[in-house]
Amino acid sequence: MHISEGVLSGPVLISGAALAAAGTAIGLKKLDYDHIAKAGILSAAFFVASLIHVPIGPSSAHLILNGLVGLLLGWAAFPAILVALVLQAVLFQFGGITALGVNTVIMALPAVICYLVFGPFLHKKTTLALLATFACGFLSVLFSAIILGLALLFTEENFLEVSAIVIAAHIPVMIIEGIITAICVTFIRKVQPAMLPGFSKR
Amino acid sequence: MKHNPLKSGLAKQILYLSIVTWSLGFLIESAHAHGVSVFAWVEGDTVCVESKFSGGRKVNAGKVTVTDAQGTELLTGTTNDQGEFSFKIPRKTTLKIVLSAGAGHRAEWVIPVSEIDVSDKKEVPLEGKSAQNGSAASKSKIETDAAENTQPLSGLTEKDLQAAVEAAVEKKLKPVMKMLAESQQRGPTAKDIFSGIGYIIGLVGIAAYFHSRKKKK
Repeated sequence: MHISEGVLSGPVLISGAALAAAGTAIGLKKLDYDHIAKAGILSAAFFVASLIHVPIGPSSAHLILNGLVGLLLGWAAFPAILVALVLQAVLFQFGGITALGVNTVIMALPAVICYLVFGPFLHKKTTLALLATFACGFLSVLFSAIILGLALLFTEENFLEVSAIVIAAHIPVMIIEGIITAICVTFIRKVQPAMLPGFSKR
Repeated sequence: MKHNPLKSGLAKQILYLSIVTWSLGFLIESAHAHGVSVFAWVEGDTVCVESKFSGGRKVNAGKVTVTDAQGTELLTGTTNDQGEFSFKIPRKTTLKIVLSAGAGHRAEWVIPVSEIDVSDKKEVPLEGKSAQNGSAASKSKIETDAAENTQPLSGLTEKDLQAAVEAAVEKKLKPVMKMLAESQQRGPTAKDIFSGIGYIIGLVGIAAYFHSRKKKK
């Protein structure tokens, strides 16, 4: 899911950076004192998740965990993912510094969308919450693949072809992320429901 | 530029062919690791290129584009299933090797002009030149050196000797270059992972500090 340095044209990089900056600003504004530690932990989880390869089928994609990060952090997923991506770019040479904005949007925007869509279901009945969290993990990866295809649309590559390839390669990842997200959230619901968004309202 | 029409037609054909093979290979391979690396070195008059995804898998049918320092395309090709590609040095210039493995994966490697030693340049060895038109002192020194070196190996000219030495050195260096290529393309180490987590903890600490200062006010 990481786009390397030098692939995208200037306008795509700049608009990606602008979107990422806006998202990060909103995220930082919404990130209050109580959630800083949580954001740090999830940022670290995202940072390490990309090292876990899923060796199913001919490809080996890696975990992204943006659905989980989004579900637990909401808008704060932007700064958390941005920080993790900076470190991945510097330490692992995944992606690149100039492509940072675009990569942040690719992974953080689906996280926020999934949070907005599925967040309200977290405190519903167990089965419904389970389904919502699975869908959250599953769809966030799918959306990431679609945004990746969109970003590459403006370079010479074919949008439909690239998106199809990326999505196909990530189907196992989507399923695994759905399961992981569901397990994590179910666990948190039992142990520490205050960690989930929307808890205080109920 | 230096290409004649026949050659550029051929280059185009190779380009199309490589694009087709590349996209075909890609459909099968559907490689989606997140980082890709490329490493290239000079072996005589050829350049060897090796490429890998960060998971350690080779880039099968990745597209290689070679340009000079100004960005003029010199040649293109695709890597084989071992992630390797080699080409004859087209001319004495800085070579920029760009590997694109699709879906936004790209890496590059630059071979500076100083590392490129095209064989026709070798034919006038430096020593021979200075011996011909150097000052008297250096001339005599080189002559004695040359005499010492060549006397036991009668019949061998300096040129032959140099070629032999170069061939031997290249042969010995080959495993070393392979090793270098391997080490260049290592995945993230434990050190990288822990330092990243450390940075995140540090950032959390900084954020908490500023928040607590705000609270005191």
